[in-house]
Parts: sequence; C-alpha cells; structure tokens
Amino acid sequence: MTDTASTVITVSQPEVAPRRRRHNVALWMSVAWLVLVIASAVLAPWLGFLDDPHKPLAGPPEEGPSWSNWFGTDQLGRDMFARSVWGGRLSLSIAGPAVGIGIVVGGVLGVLAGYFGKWIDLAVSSVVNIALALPALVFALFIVTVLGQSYMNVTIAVTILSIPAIARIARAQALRFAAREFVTVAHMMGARWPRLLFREVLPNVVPALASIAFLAMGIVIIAEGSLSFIGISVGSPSITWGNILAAGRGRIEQSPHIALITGGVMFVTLMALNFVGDEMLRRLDVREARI
Amino acid sequence: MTRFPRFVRSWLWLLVALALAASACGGGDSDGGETVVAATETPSATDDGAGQDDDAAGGDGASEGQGDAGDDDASSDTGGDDTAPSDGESQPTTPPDDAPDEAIGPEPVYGGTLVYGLEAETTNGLNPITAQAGASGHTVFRQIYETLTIPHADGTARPFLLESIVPNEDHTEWTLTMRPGIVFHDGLPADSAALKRHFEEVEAGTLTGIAYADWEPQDIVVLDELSIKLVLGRPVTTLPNFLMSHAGYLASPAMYDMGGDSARNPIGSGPFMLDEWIPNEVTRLVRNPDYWRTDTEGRALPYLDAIEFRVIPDTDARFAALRAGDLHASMDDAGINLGDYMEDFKVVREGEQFRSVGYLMFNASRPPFNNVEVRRALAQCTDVQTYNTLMWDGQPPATGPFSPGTPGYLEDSGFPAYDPDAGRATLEQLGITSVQSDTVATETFLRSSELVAAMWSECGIDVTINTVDQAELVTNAILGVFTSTAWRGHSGYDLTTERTWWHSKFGRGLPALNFGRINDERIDQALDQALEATSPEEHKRLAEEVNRAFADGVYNIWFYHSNRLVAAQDDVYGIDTVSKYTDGGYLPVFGGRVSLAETWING
Repeated sequence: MTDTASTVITVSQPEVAPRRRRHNVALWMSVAWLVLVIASAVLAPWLGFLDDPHKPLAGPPEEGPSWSNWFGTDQLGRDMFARSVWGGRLSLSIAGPAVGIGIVVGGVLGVLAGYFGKWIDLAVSSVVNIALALPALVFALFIVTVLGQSYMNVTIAVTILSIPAIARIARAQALRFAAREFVTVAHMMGARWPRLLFREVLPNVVPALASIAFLAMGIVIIAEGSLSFIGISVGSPSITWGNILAAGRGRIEQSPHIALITGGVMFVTLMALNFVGDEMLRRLDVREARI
Repeated sequence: MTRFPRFVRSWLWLLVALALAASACGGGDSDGGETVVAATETPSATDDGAGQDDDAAGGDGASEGQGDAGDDDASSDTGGDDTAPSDGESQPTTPPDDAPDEAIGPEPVYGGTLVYGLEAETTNGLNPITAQAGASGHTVFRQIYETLTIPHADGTARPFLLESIVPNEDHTEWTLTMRPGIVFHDGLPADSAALKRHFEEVEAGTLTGIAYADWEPQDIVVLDELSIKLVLGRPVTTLPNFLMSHAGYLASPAMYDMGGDSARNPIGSGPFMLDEWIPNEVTRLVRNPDYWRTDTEGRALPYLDAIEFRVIPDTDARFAALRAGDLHASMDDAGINLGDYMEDFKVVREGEQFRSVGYLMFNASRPPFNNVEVRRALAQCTDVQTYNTLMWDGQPPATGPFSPGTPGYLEDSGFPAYDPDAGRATLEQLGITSVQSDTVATETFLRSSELVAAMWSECGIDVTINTVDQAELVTNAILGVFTSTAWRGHSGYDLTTERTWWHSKFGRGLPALNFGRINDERIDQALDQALEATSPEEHKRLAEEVNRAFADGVYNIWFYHSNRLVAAQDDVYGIDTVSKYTDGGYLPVFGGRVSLAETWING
C-alpha cells in the first residue's frame, strides 16, 4: 500500500510542479500587466510624458509607431499611446462599477435564491432566466438609445447585463455550500439562518465571486467595445478602446496601427483578466483546496 | 539550453507579433509628414473638449440651389440630334478587339447590373416633392425621373425634358413646352397635363411649396398638348434654374394620385424604374425599355439592365467597399482621400466652378449663437487651414459660400481670420464656456467634430457633440432643433436659388428652409433684387454683397469647397455622360448628382 502510494506521488510530481510554475509565471505576468494598465489609466491625468489625447498634430497624421509617438498617430495626428491610455481609463471606469454593482446586486440575489430556495429561488431564477434569454447587445442598444449616449447610461446598460449572469453563478455557489456538511452541522448545533448565511455560506461564495469579477470585467469591456464599434457607446469626444477600434477600422489598410495596437492592448488585457480570474477560481476553490 | 515555460513563450510570441505589426506600420502615411512641419504650432486641444462639425449630411436636400442669374433666355432647344424615342430595336454590341480609347472608352455594351455606393438614404421616400434629398437622393431621382432642365457649364440651365422654356418680356410668364414622345413608366404621356399636375403638386408640397409660393404663382394655363404657361405675380428671371432640382423632377400623374404611397412607388420617365427599395440598404432599379433618349449613334438608352444603389454612410467604409470590388462605382465628396481616389480609380469630378462649400452652420436664433460676437469669436478660434489640411485636401480656407470662379467669389470677403487670442478674450468676456454641436454619427464626421472641439477647447470652450443620423440631422435643421452643425451646399451657380436658404422670410415659422435662421437685411435686399435682375454684372454685384454680409454676420464658419466625384472601376464607362440635348456643355457631377443612362460595364 505504502509503495503504491509513493509511486503515485513520484509519477505525478514532475508533471504538477512545472505546470504550477508556468501558471505562476503567467499569473504574475498577467497581474503585472493589469497593474500597469490600471495604474496608467488611473494616473493618466498626472503622467507628464503623456500627450493630450485630443491634441491634433502631436505627430504626423497616420504615422506608425516612433520614438516620439510610441503607438503612432491617428488621422488627426493625435498620439495613439495617449489615446490608448485614456481609452483604457474610460473602458475600465465603465467596467469597474458595472462589475462591482453586478457582483453586489447579482451576488445578493443569487445567494438568497440559492440559500433559501422555494419561492425566492423561483422568483429570482425566473427573472434571471428571462434576462439571460434577451440578446445582450440588442438589450444594451435599446437602453442606450432610449436613455441617450453618456458614460452613466452605458454603465447602466452593461451593469444590467452583468447582474443576471453573476446572480446565476452566485446562486449555484450558494446552493452547493448550503448543502455542505459544515453548514448542516452548524444548523444542527442550533445556528440560525443569519449566522449560517453570513458566517458559513457567504464566506465560501465570495472568493468565487471575486474570481468571476475578473472574468466579468473582460466581458464588460468587450460589451462596451461592441457598443462603441456600432457607435452607441459614450459619445464623442470621449475616448474608449472601442471607439478607437471603430475609428481605425476604416483605415485598416492604410494605417493598421490605429486599430491593431489598441486592439492588441485590449486583447492582452482581456487575456490577463481571464487568466487571473481562472487562477483565482482554481486556487480559491474550496473543494480543491480542502479535499 | 533553458526553455521558457510554454505559457511564457506564448506571451512572448504575442508580444513579438504585436511588435511586428506595429513596426509594419512605421512607414505611416507619407503625406502626413509635410503637414506636421507646417502646422505643428497651430491648433492644439486640451482635454475633453468636444467639437463638432463637418460634412454635412447629404442631407441638405435643400442647398441644391443653382442656376445662374442672368441668362434667362433658356428657350432655345438644345442641340443634338433628334429626340425620337427609341423603339428598343438596337442590338447589344460587343467591345472591339483593339485597345479601348481611355477618353472615349470601348463600344458600349448592353446589360449588367451596376452596384453604386451612396452616402445616404433619402428621407421621406422617393417622391421628390415630399422627399428631403441630398446628393444621394438626387442621384437616384435622376435615374427615375430626370429633370425639366439641366445644368450647363456656362452657368445657365438648358431644357431637358422640356423642349423649350420661354419667358415673356418682364419674366412674369413662362411658357414651358415638353419634348414630344416622352412617356412615363406607367405608359402615360409626359404632356402638358402632366406638367400642370406637376406644378400643382410642387405648390402643395410642404417644402417645395415654400419656394414655389415665393414666385407668387397666379395661374397654370394649358396651351396645347405639350405646353403650359406659368403665370407669376412677380418677375422671376431665373426660373429654369429652379427646375434642375426638386421642382424639376417630373412624375406621372398616376403617382401623385397615390398620395402617401407615392413615396414607395415612384413613376417617372427616366432611364430606370424602381424594382425594389429597402431603406438604408438597397435601391434596385431596372431598365426602362421605353426610355426616350438615345445616344449619339442613335442606340437606345440605357445600356445597363439594372442599378443597385447601396447606402454606405461612412466615407472610409464606402471607399473600402469600392477598393474591395464590392461596388462598381461610388460617390464621394473627397477630402483627405482625394489622392487615393485619383490614383486607384477612374474618377469623374465636378468642374472647378460651382463647387459647394463645407461649413459649420450656426443656428442664429438660439443662444449662444444668436450673438454675433460669439460667432465671430468661435470663428477666430477655428484654424480652418489646419482643418482643411487634416480633414480635407489642404486647400486654402473658403472665404464665403461661393467657390472661385463663381460670380460671388471674393478672395477677401472680410471673414474673421484665425486669431485664438482675440477669440478667447471675447468668449471670456461674454462668459461662454460651453456649446453644443450636432453631427452625423459616422467616423469621418465625428473626427471632424473632434478636431473643431479641440480647437475651441484652446479658447476655453467645452463642446458637447450630439450625434444623430443623417436623416435626423436634416429634420433637426428644418425644425431648428440644433445649435450648430456641419453642413454643405450652395454651388454659387445662381444667387436666386439660394434665397430659400438665406432669406429671412424662409427662416420664420416651421418648417423653415433657412436652416441657420439668418436674419440679415443686407442679404434679404440682395436676394430680392437678384430675383428681378437680368444682367450678369448685377447678379455678380449682388452675390458679392451677400458674401460680405455673411462675413460680417459670421452666420457660418466656412471650411472648404467640395470635391464631388464619382469613382469607378476600370471596366465602368460613361458615368454622368449626357451626350445629347445639352449643347455640349453639360456640367457633370453637379452637386454630386449624376446621370447613369449612358453608363455601361465592359465585360
């Protein structure tokens, strides 16, 4: 028995260790990238080396990357690096609140539905299912068209879209933990529902929601980008990654850097968000961690 | 050798790919280089400005004015051979084996479907009386209806569907005679009854009626089978010029009988008939087998079996579609990409004269633009030369509504020069810190608006850019629901046809065709006098007076003169050719509208 067990360990260890190291490196690269993007977005107004993103003729129009304009310039000669940073600032400032509110509202609804079940679950699940059945982009388009193009309204639109998906995940997590032994034992020992909910279930759901938040951030950034691409996100002259892409698509042949570099920044950011989210989900998963 | 973990390697590959893509773009666009050297110190923006403008939405169905004053004696028949309608017996020909003459092209080939890119859909359907049409709408109308008169390069209108148009001595009566043998798509004759009905509909039209009423019409007398006499209450020396546009598209009485349904069921006498219309997507026209005109060899027209007009509002997207071969031909008012068009395609351009003007139009009835000091200050804050360099073809700033070569053009009209310090000081003194501007929601228009916003932000002005679609922009202009917006129009062909856009009597009430709500006594007087003036010299003097009044009142910020063109693939011939009935002086691509009756695809 002992030999068999040790054999399993020696066979599995060489595979697990490098894989974990790879994950570690990738994780830290992703984290570093996100820190860089978020820090530059937050600090954009105070970064002295950053050009005014609206200033025409910061360089020759439609010039590719150079020492003076790292990401090149657009059709008006505006510095694309500055525009990418400021675009990230607005894209993230839409995604942040949208996901934050989505986590709070969707999380609460999902946990209540998952823990209490019965009519609460029925009501919440019904609303969530209906909301998820709506075509997301059309729904967002409708909201922005009715309310008007502004930062607030775009944020509202993507927030409303994020709530049902997060609620469903929170409900699933709450359902899972509400049926776990330690909750049952606590209940048998006389713990009442507030304690069970806030001390036993919620602490186990929150890590999962936190990891979902990263994934949701990526989805919301794409959603905002999609709205920008069809011209109904935050109005001009505000800059988002999406409207930079939209502005560059018509000149993709003549000046591919306008769309490709910003698209690349957006892509790497989304990849980093997804990877961090996945890693968090894996590492914070209670079942994997404790069993 | 140490190997990086696979995930790290994939990140590195990604970075390398991005770096390669970035370096590939390093060449940039060549013409930008010089620009910067010259203009680096000029405009600059700060942060969140906001701006607006540009390119008028083809919308302005309105500003299709034209017609030069003066030479009103348009009675003479146009030349060319006879007008005998073709019986359709002409046989398709095949292109010759020898190399085609670039100027003339090979022998016309019958058949095929021309796919043509338009910049906008026409608002309110395809009845010219009720439609709000810009250059795109007029291009479609020219194929379905054709006009009673047609522009000549000498600045006069010549009869087209009409055989003659003759005034009495004091220009209060005009006798209009139709060409014989023209029939509408429904088989009804295009005769005096149809002509009378047409003018009755023009009078009843919401927008056309406004202009028509200005002539103080008294009566429409049918003289014979082909002739009518328009009796007016005032002299109108340039009536033929009005009949090249909305008021000149002759439709079948049966179409007018349809009332509201006429917008979807156009019936004209043009070379093509409506087959299918899906708004904002495609307008498909098919050959009219009974079309009246022939080519110089007597062959039946049109050559094409069908035309598909596709609406692609964004300039860059339209250009890309043409380059990708999705379009046979496409219209544009080309600025920054004029060189690309000229290099890559066969191009038919409007003439040097009678080009329209692109400008920022203020609503002079709404604060803060009801204050001439605000308008002047913002004009001083606008670096038009830089604007034209970045957004257009680098031409010098327009000095007024008239392009060089037109009667009203002035090299120095007195329009405020770029002087941001003076502008900023005035705006600070007046306490103006923000304005709103409307623009069409396409990338080109947005970029233009952002550029103006950036310039104005240097003067301490925040600009809120309100984006609307092209049709909405036109409606807002008619209703006066805007503060400032980009616009385009005014060919300078004829001062009198501009009166509906500029005279104060057309700016009161709703709907209004004087979109900018201009109320200027000098302009009014000049326009009134022009309606009765008969000498070209007098028209020139009046047009120059209007130009100076515009400069003093700063009702608009003038940017550039248009570069209207139609770009086509190499195998497309005969774009905007009207080989007969024009005295050999047909003015092509006038206002962006073209005739496709003599267009063919070779192969």
